[in-house]
Amino acid sequence: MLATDGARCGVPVDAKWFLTAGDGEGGADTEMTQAQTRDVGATSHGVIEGTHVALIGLGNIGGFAAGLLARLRGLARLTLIDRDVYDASNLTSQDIAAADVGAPKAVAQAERLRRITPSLVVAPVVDDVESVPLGLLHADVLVACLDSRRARQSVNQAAWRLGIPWIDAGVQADQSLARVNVYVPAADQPCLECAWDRRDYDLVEQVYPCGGAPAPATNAPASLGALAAALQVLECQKLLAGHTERAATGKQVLIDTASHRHLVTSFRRNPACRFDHISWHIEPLAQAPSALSVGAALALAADGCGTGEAVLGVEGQVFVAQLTCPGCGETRSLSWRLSGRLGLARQCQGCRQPMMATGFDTIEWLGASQLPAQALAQALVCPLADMGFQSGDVVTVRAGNSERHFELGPTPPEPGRVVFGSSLSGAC
Amino acid sequence: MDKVFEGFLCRQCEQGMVLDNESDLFDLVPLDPPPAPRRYIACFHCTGLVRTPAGDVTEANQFAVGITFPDDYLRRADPFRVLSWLGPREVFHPNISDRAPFICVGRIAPGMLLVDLIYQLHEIITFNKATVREDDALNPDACAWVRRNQDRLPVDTRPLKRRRIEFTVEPLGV
Repeated sequence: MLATDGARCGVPVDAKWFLTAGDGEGGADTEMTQAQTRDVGATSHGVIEGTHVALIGLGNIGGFAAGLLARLRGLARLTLIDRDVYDASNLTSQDIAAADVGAPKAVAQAERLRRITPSLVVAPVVDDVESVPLGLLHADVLVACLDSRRARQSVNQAAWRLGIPWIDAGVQADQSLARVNVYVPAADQPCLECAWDRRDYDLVEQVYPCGGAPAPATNAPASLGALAAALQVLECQKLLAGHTERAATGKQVLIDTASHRHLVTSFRRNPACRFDHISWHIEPLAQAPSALSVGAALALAADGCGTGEAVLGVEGQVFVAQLTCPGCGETRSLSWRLSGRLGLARQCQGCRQPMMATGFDTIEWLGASQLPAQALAQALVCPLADMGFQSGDVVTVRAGNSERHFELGPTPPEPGRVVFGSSLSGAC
Repeated sequence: MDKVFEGFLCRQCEQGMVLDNESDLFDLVPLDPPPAPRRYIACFHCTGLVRTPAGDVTEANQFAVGITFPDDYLRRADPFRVLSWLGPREVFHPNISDRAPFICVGRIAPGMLLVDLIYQLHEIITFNKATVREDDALNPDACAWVRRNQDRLPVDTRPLKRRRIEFTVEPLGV
């Protein structure tokens, strides 16, 4: 159990929470090592030409990671994803300048990185990672610098579906800890949730109809964030250069800066993990959401799939029939729009609060039987774009026990063009 | 459907129907075909409160809540997505909105059992559990009423599942 191991190794027991390792059945083995003097940098200066990294989170850790990634030789493309805007309180803990205050984090960092490496293609996405089309995350490595378990769950799931490695980083300011975890999807490899127990799931952030206080900022010092970012980018560099055997695959590397200790914990695949560990075979579609109708999408399920009603869906999102304002009770009908693409429709016209949809006003799988019977023909020719589908979305179509996954075309927006997501203004 | 999740749904249905059979205070209606329904309506016949159009707070004994288990319920749970208040709309309770189909039972742990959800709902409806913080309440008026009328709560003390005692009455021939 990591907490106990940590205590034996001198790491305070209450550091467990940020180490994301419980006493789940996956198990973990920790060894404390002396500080390494081997020069890792000399073995891998570059990365494979033409590689692409998606960086999610541009705060205390991600801001520093962005600059380090931009300096990797051979990296061709960097996608930046963050829904937030920099404010003045970030100046002391994040890698920004005063001129960045008020700017979307992804936009501000993109401009900075283009000055560092003009040849680097930088694609900023101002959106919640849970709402970003899965195709936009299709990189060689995902680098996550997040401050919530829920967001980490989403990235873990995306990485497994796409079959690409991801590197998670975290800091704990009051105990001066910085750590990185490296996950590489494979049948025998642990994921983020393999080490989670019931207590970890109890800590996953939730959205309440009565509101609730937002999560407090970590307020970690910039130096700690920079350390975590450096560890993270070093691991990323190994993966991009093909030196997978040297990466901390399935492990956590933790630096206790207060006592100068370095711990490496190996995780095991948990046979009882709540996540299914399935990677998808995703077939590209040439059609854009505006050119593909609901009926045509449902027909994809009939090609080689099982019997039963064909249905379609997007993992992590639901189709919303109606929104209701928890404040004033105003309702808004939506005719099955994706929950992550509601945009301004989510805001109550009366009291400006974010509107929500209960489970009884949503469905996860849309088939012909959910469409209005009296206008079925018209509903079937409705383009997917009218429901909020975007280029890059991976649509799952099912019939019976068979399912297929298609990525909507055409190719994602031109690099350099800022993508503003339609999920902003809270969860639904 | 994921086999683990399907197994979970099957067990919830079995346990929920057992509780339904053992309780005279609620009925559980699956909305999807067996063996793994995802959605239910829980109809409670316990005593709760409603507010009349005239503004009077009176007792009522018919309440309905929709329960939904999303695909990822074992890994994350949003209370507003899992529970839908179906009626009556005039319900009077700090944790239940009288304008929108929302009920707040507090945190729902991912994978929380259906029977545990039902027990939580029963506690809310009968005022065995009610928030007294208006900034946290879906019905601030009801919250203020609770603070002034603590001596009247809970409005229904009957447990959801009552132990059935089998006995016979025989005349004593005297």
